Amino acid sequence: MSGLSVSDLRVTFVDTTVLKGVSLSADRGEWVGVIGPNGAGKSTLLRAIHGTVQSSGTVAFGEHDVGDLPGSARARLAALVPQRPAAPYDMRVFDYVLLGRSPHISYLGVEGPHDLAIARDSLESLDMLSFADRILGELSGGEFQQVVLARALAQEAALLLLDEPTSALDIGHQLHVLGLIDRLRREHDLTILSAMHDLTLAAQFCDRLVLLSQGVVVTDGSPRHVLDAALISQHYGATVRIIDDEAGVIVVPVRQNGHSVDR
Amino acid sequence: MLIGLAVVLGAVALGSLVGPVHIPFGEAIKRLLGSPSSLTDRQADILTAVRLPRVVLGGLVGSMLALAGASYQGVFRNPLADPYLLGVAAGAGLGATVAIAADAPPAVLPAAAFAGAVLAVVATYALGRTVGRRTTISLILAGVAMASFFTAVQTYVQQRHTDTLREVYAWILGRLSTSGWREVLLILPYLIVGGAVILLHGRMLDVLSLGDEEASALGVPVRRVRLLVVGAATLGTAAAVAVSGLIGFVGIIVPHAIRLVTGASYRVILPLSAMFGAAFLVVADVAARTVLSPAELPIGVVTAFLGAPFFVLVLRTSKGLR
Repeated sequence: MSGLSVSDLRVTFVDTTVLKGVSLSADRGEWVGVIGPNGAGKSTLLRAIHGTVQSSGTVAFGEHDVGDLPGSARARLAALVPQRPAAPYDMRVFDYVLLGRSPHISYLGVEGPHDLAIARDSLESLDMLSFADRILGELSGGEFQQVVLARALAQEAALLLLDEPTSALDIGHQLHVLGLIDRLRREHDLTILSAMHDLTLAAQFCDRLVLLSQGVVVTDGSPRHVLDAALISQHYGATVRIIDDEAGVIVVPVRQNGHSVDR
Repeated sequence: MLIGLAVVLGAVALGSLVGPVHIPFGEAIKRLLGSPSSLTDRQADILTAVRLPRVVLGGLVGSMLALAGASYQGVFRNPLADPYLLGVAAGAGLGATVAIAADAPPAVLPAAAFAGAVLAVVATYALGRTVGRRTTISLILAGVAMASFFTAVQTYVQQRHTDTLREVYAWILGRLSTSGWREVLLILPYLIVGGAVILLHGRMLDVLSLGDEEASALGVPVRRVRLLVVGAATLGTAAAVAVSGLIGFVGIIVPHAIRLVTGASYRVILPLSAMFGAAFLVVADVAARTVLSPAELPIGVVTAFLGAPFFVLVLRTSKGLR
């Protein structure tokens, strides 16, 4: 079964064109990372694919043309996790995860036992079941990120669109959460498209990377191919050293302007 | 829920029994259940034609204001939202002032207030659509603009008819005086429809608490939910205001107190707000008509006077809100 296929996606806000004809694809079960400098259009790309932003072009997932689907049908196919999800302070964790069932419930309907069971299972797959009765305001950043993933999982969508899923976490929690995402995609055969800031983590977890800059795809391929020092310097304006060893591709930023490390 | 029901029944009993003419509780119950009781005809008349209609009206108005406040807070994700947010109060105030200034018959007053309230909110919505990207902020700002505009016109009309100042002022402070069951029957259809639509949207308001974008990413038709809930809350509030004047505080304090105790789910907040809003206003009305008896205090004064300390108490004793 085919996965995600995006072609010639264009998004214009009032008078600025943010995406200028983006095409990309992801196979079923593949994890594709979207990298690029701030303002490149990564978040807009994810939202346009999900249909929360108006766009022209086509988005197909499996046998569905996503653009033709009504909101709830689209939300059953693809779950979007924004960069900074809203966390109503006094909402219970379980109730929050249960909101992920919304696309499966009719307008004035209520959750049935099946929905409750799925919410429970989702929390369990992220080892967060013991947090069910806590309130969101009491969670740490890492715990909340796991709860957000549980909500996306409860949506039972085969495509996960993650906007910088670990940008607010420390290095240990980043590895932990990305590891969880990787495990989930294998267990549930999920296709993942995620915007990533940390290039080293992107290289270690994504099967393939797409470098987006100023609304166009610059290059698309394996992390080893995309993470090229000259390309990164050109598009991020940063000097980096690329280390390629048995741990994978590692991108190290290097400070410029004459300050040596062993001053 | 059961506690809520008990509190409502208790408030109704209190409201029916307290007053210048003593009515014994047991006998009143017997009478209402249709069995013979020792109540005199006069006592029975006072009970069924004076006390009960007023208590029922207070309950209905309180319940609607609390429900509308809770739903506005949900739809706009703004803890300061109250039922008058989009100009209901200013519109109703203008309608009532015009009716009083024109010396219209008393029966016209509620109709004029209702029309003014609905007109103001429709104008707010129309204005809100033309500015910005139809966010909740542009709607709230449109409401502020409309409220100022309607208040300005209302003040002008009032200044041109200073002889009616006292009457207009009394209306603005809110009052629950009834003439039999007429007012109750007048507003009941709006309150039933408005209340039912709001209560059915509990789950939707929970999804909306994530924000418009995340809610629509979950497949929720955000604009339709907002239009339906705001429409229902506005109709209900306009009807309530039409017969009771501008009773403040209920719509903001009751839902918050409930939320502090029960947590964030609107499926719990909405029905409990309706119940405790009813009980709160009935008790406030008892205070309004007994404290200075036989004179009456404006009920709006009582709701704020009783409500503020109560709210502080809830704030201090609950763990929530940061």
